[in-house]
Order: sequence, then structure tokens, then C-alpha cells
Amino acid sequence: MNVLLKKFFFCISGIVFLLLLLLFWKGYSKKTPYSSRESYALGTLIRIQAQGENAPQALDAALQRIAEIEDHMSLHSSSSDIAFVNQKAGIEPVIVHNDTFFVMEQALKYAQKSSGYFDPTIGPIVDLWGIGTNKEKLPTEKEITQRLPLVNYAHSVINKETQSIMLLQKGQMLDLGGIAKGYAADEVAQIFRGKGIKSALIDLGGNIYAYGTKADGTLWNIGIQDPLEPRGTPLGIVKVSNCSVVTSGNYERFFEVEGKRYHHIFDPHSGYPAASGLLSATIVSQTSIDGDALSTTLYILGKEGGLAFIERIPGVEALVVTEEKKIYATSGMSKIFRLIKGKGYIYEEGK
Amino acid sequence: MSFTYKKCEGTGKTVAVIEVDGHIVREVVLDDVTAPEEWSLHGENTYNVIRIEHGRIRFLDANCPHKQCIRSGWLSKPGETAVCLPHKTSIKIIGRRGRYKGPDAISH
Repeated sequence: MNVLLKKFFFCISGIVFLLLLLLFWKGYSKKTPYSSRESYALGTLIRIQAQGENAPQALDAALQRIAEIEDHMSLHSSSSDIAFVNQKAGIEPVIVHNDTFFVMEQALKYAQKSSGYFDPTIGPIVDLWGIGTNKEKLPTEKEITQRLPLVNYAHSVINKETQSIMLLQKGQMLDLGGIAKGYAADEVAQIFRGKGIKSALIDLGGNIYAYGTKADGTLWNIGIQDPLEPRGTPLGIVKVSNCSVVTSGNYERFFEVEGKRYHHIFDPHSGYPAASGLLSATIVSQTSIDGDALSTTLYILGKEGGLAFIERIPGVEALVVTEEKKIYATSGMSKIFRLIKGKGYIYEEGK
Repeated sequence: MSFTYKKCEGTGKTVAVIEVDGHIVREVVLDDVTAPEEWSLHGENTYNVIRIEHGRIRFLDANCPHKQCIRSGWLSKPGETAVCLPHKTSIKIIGRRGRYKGPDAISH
């Protein structure tokens, strides 16, 4: 047999081998099971699934990191960084962990960008209304006006060198509830990247991070909750990969007095639940910390100011659902969002 | 995946799965319920009462601080859930009618 023929056979078998390897790999990646963890953390129910042989240890690392974040930033722990900062309000700065400092830095950035519609010093108002606790009540106007001056992100000082936070006025309270879950989701995604995970779905109390693609290479289908139906019912789907989807809505935590609903997304300027005419606001973004802070901001700003505000931020898309069951969105949303018909919502595309 | 659901897979029946702290404590085939039932779950200092009827289920009563679970109302369709966070108790409706193409997760 001459050399040329030998080379030809070698080449063909090489190609066949590669093809078989490719088929095997594709089949394998489809069939490698997902591991998942469900637990109660960050004040909510979290569920994380990841694919791969080292997924179980990646998930363990993720849960550990989430516990750490909760330890540092929780309002409900008397030994968290936030608890100490609040205790020392008007007294002295408190040195905090790296992650707490970073989240506070970001929170102040959003506060500035949004002219205070997002404000991490909203604590005194949240505490006054007590929504989600057994002391929830409708405060008097006097009680609100008394506490409202304490809500002012500009009355705080952060020091990068000493890594400290100080609230300047006694009675001020930090509440990172509107941003901490988003930060946590990004941290989990970071851990997964470090462990070479290719596909995962992170659900932290409804804050979603769609990591990579699904096992078959298609985009993740993330539903947006129908504000008027039981939890678990979507009104539409966004198809995404490596994206965060976060929704703020008036149906999550609320109480009713004499037929009127008081929800948990407070307007830092009025001290009352935001009355922007929206049932919910959803942000699709690259990082979940952005999604968390911006969905709150968008909900408070409402359709007019809110969508215009988001439109100016590159790489972020938004969708709002109004009380009239109309849906408005930023210009890039229609490429990824599909309304589920028959639910009575009207998607006002391009408006 | 729940045992009851596996038995019901392909039959088109809806199953309610009740979990406490991540452990399945009960499964109910809602379509097969003949008489309403109020089922009480007691923890150390906690209780939840779940009402089970033909085709639907809900948290009826609880001694949790804010009773958000009760406010979630009736659940009857696959994918619907209600959670009592302080008591780590959840109700989920699972089941398939034909080839149900629901989303992978829901942002809420």
C-alpha cells in the first residue's frame, strides 16, 4: 500500500474518531444530570440547580457563600455588619466586611443615579410599617413625617481605606433588602464560573439568574409572574442566557386595611408604598445586583419616568405591567419577550 | 421527584406536594379528593392549617407573623406555589396535562 493511501486512511479515521467524540460529548452533556439544592436563606426560599459532575460541590460552595452574605448583611441578625452600623448611627463609623462595603458602595451609586428613588437608608420607614412582621400597621401621617427625614442616603459616609460605613444621624437605619439578593446571585454565578459549571439556574426567592444555556444548548425560559394570579403562573416568557431577571411587584408582601392594599416597596420621598400605577416591574440585565436595585427603582418611578431612566442604561432591558393590565417595555425587550395569550394583558410594543 | 407524582405521571392528574424544611411531608392527588379536609401541621411553636378540597388547596390558617401564606389563596394549577417562609412550609402543585411547556423558572 502506498504512503498516500495510508495517509488517507489515517485522516479518515481521525475524522470519524473526532465525529464520534463530538457525538458522545453532545450526548453526554445532554444526559449529565442536574444537581439541585433548595433551602431557606436570605429571608426567602432559594433553589439552585447546576449541571456537571462537580455540581454538588459547586452547590455546597454556593450555599456557604449565601450563608456568609446573610451573616454580614441581614437586618434580622443582631451581629451582622448592618446591625452594628445601625446601632452606631450618629455615633461612629463601623468597619465592615469586604462584601458589605461593596454592596453599600453600589447601593449609594444607584441612589445617586436615581436621585434617591433607590435609597438604602429606607430602614426607618420599613421598620415603621412593619410589613412582613407581626407588628405591621398603618402608621399615622405624623409618624411618617417624623421618620422621613432619617431617610437620606447623603447622610452617610463610606471610607474605602478603613472599609467603614457611618450613618451620620441617630435613628438612621440601613436596609440592604433591595439589593443583597441580587449581589448573592452574582456571587453564586461567580463561584460556578470558577468551578467550570456550564449550565445552571439560580432562583433566590424569585430573583433569577439564568447561567449559561440549558443542557441542550437552548436559551433558558424565564417566566415573568402574572401579578394577578397565584405564584407560579407566568404572563410571559423571556428567553435568555447568562442574564439576570428580577421582578418587583405589589403582590409579594402586603397587608390590607379597609380594602386598601399597602405593599412593601416604599417611596423614599413620601414614606408610603409607591403608588406609581404599576403591578410589577421587571429588569433583565447582566448582573443581578443591577437587576435587584433597578427593579425597585423602576417600580417606584413608574412607566413614564422609569422606562426612560432604564432606556439610558446600556445592556439593561425592562418591562412594566400597569394596573390597567397593559405591558410596556424598553426597545430591546421585544427581541426576547413573548406574551402568553389569553390572560387579558395587552403588550403595547414600541410605546 | 415525588413518589405520588411518578405514579400519576401521564394520567393528567394534579398533585399537591407539601414540604416542610425541604422534606416532603404529604402529597395529595387533588383530582381524587372526595371530601374537604383541614390538615394541621404543628412545629415546636408553630402551626399551619392547610385546607384540601377537590381540585384545589391552600393555607387556611397559621400563627406566622404576617400570614402571607394565607394571602396566597387557592392553588389549583401545575406550577402554582405558596410558601410560609417563617415556618419553612410550602405547597406546590405539580402535574402535567399532556406536554406542559412551562418556563424553567419564574421571576417574581
